[in-house]
Amino acid sequence: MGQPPLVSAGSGSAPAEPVVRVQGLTKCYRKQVAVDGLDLVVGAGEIYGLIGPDGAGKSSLMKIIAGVLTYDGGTVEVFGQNISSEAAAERVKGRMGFMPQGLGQNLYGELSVEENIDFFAQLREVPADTLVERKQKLLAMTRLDKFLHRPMKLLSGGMKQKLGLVCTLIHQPKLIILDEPTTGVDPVSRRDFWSILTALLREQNISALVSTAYMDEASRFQQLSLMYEGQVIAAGRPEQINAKVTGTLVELVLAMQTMQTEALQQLKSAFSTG
Amino acid sequence: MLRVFVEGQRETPAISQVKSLLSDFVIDDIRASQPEMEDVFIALLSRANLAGHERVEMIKSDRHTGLASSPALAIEADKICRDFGQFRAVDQVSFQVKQGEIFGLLGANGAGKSTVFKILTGIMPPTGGEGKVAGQDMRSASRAIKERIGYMSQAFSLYQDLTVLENIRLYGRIYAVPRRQLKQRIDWVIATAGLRGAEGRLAGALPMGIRQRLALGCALVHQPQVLFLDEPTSGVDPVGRRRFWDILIQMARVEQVAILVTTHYMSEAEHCDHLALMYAGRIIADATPAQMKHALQQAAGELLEVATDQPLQALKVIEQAGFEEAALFGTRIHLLAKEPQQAREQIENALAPHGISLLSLSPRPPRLEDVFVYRILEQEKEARSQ
Amino acid sequence: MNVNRVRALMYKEWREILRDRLFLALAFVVPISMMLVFGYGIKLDVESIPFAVLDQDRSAMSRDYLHLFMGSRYFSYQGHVQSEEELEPLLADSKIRFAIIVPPRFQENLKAGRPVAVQALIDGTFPFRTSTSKGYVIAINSAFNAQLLAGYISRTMGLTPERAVAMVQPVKAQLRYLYNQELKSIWSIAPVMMMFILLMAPPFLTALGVVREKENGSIYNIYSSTVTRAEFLIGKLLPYVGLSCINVIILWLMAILVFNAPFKGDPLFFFLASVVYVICTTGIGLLVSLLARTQVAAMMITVVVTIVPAVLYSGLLVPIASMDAASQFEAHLFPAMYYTDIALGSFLKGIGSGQLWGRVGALLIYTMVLWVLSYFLFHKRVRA
Repeated sequence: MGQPPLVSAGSGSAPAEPVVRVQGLTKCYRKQVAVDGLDLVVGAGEIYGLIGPDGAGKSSLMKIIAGVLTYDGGTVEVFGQNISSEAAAERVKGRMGFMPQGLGQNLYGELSVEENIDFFAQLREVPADTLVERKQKLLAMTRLDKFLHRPMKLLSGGMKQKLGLVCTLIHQPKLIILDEPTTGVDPVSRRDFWSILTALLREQNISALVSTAYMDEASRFQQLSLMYEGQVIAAGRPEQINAKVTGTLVELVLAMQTMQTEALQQLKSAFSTG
Repeated sequence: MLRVFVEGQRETPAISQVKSLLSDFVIDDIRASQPEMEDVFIALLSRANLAGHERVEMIKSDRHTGLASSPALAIEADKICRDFGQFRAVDQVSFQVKQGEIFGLLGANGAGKSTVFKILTGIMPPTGGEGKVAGQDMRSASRAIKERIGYMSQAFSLYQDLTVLENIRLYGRIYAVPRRQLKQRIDWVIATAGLRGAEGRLAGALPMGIRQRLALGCALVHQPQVLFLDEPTSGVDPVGRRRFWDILIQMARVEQVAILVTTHYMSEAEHCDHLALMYAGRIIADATPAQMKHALQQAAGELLEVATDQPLQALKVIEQAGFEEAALFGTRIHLLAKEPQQAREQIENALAPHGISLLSLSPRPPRLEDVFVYRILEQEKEARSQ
Repeated sequence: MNVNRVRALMYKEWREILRDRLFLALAFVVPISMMLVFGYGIKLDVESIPFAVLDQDRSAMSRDYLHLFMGSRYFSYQGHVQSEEELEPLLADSKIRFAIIVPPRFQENLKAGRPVAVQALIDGTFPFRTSTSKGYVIAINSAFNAQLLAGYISRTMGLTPERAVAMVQPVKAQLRYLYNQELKSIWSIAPVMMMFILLMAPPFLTALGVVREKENGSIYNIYSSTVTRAEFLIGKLLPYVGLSCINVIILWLMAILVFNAPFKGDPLFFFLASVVYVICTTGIGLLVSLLARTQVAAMMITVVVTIVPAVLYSGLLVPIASMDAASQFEAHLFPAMYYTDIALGSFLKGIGSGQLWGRVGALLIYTMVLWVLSYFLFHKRVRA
């Protein structure tokens, strides 16, 4: 029972080169090991997820792939190019977009929505005429067109998130890397964000590497890696990973709430988690 | 509500296993479902022996402030309003939290949750309305309130360069815990928050999950009657989050502390005894999780999960077929339908002409996320039509 | 180099600066207040020294003697005391900084041809002022002595008082104060303050501006795009140079209009030299910002790296020529000294590019070193 891919590969084309290939990556901060011998392959046109709590190494991994962080061991290839040197990394940056962690942190608070987008477009050398129509389309899609002149610092969390996405995509990169774009945002905005993201990626056949601390977003990805403290615990399609562990989730409500703690203790001694 | 993942067992044996284990307790309701990614994650971690195994000790503290004499209602908010110039951030908000209850305040960023917190904790005055926290009036007795509450915010208020012990001691002094009791209280915090062995570590060097428990412990050092938690588990791993909630549950059930918590993790909202959903400064729903799910089913019908061989195109088609709020979850589509049978036919008919085959269509028990999304979208639709 | 990108970076930075009202206010308010505080506050002139008198003789001669002090513009008479014990608390409290004690039988002894000792108590807390005060006392004392001698000669030799004085003091030193005729210390303090403020404020603002990006994460936009190091450094820094150039004009106007310091040099040359100086000090801020990771660290490092050389090695307090060899060498390593010469030269000496080109050259070298170093220290792929 094969799961249908979210985005079908171009008709009749050979399987494309993976956009990202990482082998045996290690990264240490002074004494602390952030990434420990990690492997990763992101296929073309794929939405790849990195799921894990804080300290799992997701941010470090993403920054390394984006070419903004040095690494201590292993090989990293982006678009088939080994980015071991700073110069090599520079060559591929034009085809990537990177959004760091923190809602709207990489945007400019005093500038308006439009000024932010214009800045990113100019930074990425997007020609002026292309910019006009692209901007219009993206703003309409994210429903930010009504807030064109509002300073970024006055936007709500969900709007900052969408603006960040627009700015990351404005130069139509082949690969975007988003570090926890949905953290700290309510479910409605999250849902909204995902539908916009998938629509955009599908349309332009962009690959995406997205990290999240919300486990329940796993089903959003075509492929994902579960990470913990610098290592990959499991990788593959969500269904594959789910299948690794069989069992049943039992939910129950006690008649007497106050006995909850004792019940919890009993359960803990028999099973893991409660 | 308690959740247990029974590994390796199918539904029926799992339920009977749990039941027999809890034979001493009276169970109101019990049901089984498929494990979620979080359960898989934790199971995989324990297989690889990666998750720490610190036990959280449950020690009952000696509460000198006789809670029997404290009011049954820990928080009473009555038509609280707060304006910033023309902008009404909080609009006639009323709710009640009983002592010993875990109350969840949900809502989008900017819905007014933090403002409500600030008003109830006495940090910000309201423009209108009344409120009582721990029996004290929030307008006139804000100092008395601050002595009786604990507050933990998302941006931790720990001193990174102090050790765990130093932080707890500092908070003990700030909250004026009497000298004689201080040592006892510190011990209690360390035990309850599972910090044994970590006393000498710098707060800044702790992993997120432990840091949070420390922050929680510091908020509890003076035995508050009411606890205000603002997104306390954001970014913490599932194991850490569960340990955190274990502590909260103990505080509520055993110590009878009232807890008001905000979170974006819907799975945590399930732990709450009661929920209030905020939108644009107003409370649009105020009920138990079970009641909310039930209300959703009454209002919008069953939650159906649809699997097809071309999910993206299918979504478009289904939306056009009249299910405007259908949403994509990975490769499956979720939608609400009042008449599931009719919906099934409708969908089959809509998909067929496009050459899309329907792989499966089955009902799923709604989760709080579905409730949240439905209610908020409903409000947004209403706001647009005005 | 893509000029459009540089322009975009500059534009963005400029707008962020303009809309951050607090930052903008500080960028101008701090230099202006420093100028006012130091300009009005630092007085290196030693004048109006408060003093008290203990006249144990109370004769006509003792009064004559004491009048020389009371009439001098260097001293300010505060009153007389009856005993030595009264002087101690006054000195300790700094109500007076100097006391004169005329012994009993002052007049009697002098008339009898016996020498007398007058005691002068000077507050020695500030050696610089003390030695200046001592100079005044000795001078006034000598003047009195000369007066007495002249009187004696005039009486015994039957000469006119003028001829007597000419005999006693045959050599007169004619002092001409070049560049600063009235010896107003404010005239030299104002230009030196320009050096000082422009050494401190531009690095401060620049370091904050760059590190702010590092702290909030927008630096990743730069790191992850194809913008080159040169484009970024120039685009980011030019607005801060612009701000500082505006400050140059404001401070210059303050020196001339508020403190009435004369400006005898070439305004255009001075402005251009100041722009070079400002680019240089901005470069210091840039270097600091590349090494610091938080705004607080940037501020502290900037303060240490600029104030210390500005105070010690610029010639502000002590002339460089009077320092020992090692200190002189160190002074030559900082830009402060060169600009001090340029500023004082332009204001007071009326010299221009002719004599000062060497100093400007030194500043240019300094600037290039700083910027080249920054270019190589700035990486678009960082370690942490």
